Amino acid sequence: MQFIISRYNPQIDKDPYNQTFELDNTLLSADNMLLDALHLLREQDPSLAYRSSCQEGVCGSDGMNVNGRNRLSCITPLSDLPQKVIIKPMPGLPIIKDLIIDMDLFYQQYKDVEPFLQSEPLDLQHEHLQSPEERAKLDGSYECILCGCCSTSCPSFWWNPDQFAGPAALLAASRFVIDSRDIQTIDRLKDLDSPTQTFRCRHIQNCTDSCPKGLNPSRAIQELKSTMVKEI
Amino acid sequence: MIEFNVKLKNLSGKKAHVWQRISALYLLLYIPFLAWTVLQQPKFHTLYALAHNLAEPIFSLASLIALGFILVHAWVGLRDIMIDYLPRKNLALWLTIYHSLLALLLINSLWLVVTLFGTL
Repeated sequence: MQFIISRYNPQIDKDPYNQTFELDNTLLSADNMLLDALHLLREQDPSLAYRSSCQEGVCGSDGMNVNGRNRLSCITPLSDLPQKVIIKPMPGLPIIKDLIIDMDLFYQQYKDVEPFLQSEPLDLQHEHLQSPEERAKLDGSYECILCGCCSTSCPSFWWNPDQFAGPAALLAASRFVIDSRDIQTIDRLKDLDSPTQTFRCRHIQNCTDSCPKGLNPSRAIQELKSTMVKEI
Repeated sequence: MIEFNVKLKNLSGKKAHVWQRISALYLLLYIPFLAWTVLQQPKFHTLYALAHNLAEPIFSLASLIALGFILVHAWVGLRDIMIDYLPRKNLALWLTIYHSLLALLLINSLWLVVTLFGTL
């Protein structure tokens, strides 16, 4: 297989450039993932930089742009890819080195939507109760692993990553807006009511297309808009 | 007094979203109505004659509302595109210019309406 990988070391290189690697198919087995191939390539060139941790699609650290689409390399089967694979860092955020990007802005946007439950003061004798139906509403919004595949494939986020929260943060905001135990719903909605926040989403659907967990941030943002229209 | 100096922080998200949809819905109904009304007209040789025939209250009122909604729809639509694409440094200035242009268009259109229909 041929791998064309974007390389960039800001201490040496002026601009990113592509480097071509060849990997003998005999070194690969049918159930190998892209991350396995990257490990083999790093044996060829130990300076190749990428993130990985759990290696099973849970930590979300190995997001990268593979043949034009953001994916997690650890759950992308090589059998799904053509013989020529073009790998770039996820777009829209500064490159630290090779496939590693600086996700500070992404995390800041996530932090700004206050992604934690703000409920009545905890009574140690009594849990915050929720009916099975209310709990079921959270399905599809709490499973996000913050890999950044969605936000870095969103043109609205590329244009203004410091203003627009991005799909991941808005999905998290939506998760707490629909949570029956949260008491800050109106304040949350008011904070997000801005042409540079929720209403900057144009529903291009790149986020939904690229989510490795199969979530639908675009629909969550649409529901967030509908809730705003009804509630504030 | 109309506020011509547009500030980004003062722009609405939800209100603009709602008005854009209301205006789109109205125009969706108005445009076929306009086409139907125009097709019903006999041939005219002068603009005055056509305007005179169209000056019935229902059509005039519907057209005035449509004019207002076209301006609202244009304001929200192009405003959002400008927020997305224009360099942030001069964005407030460009939004103010655009806002002023739409206000001038509104005044000009109202003047046209008064000129055309006021003397009928």
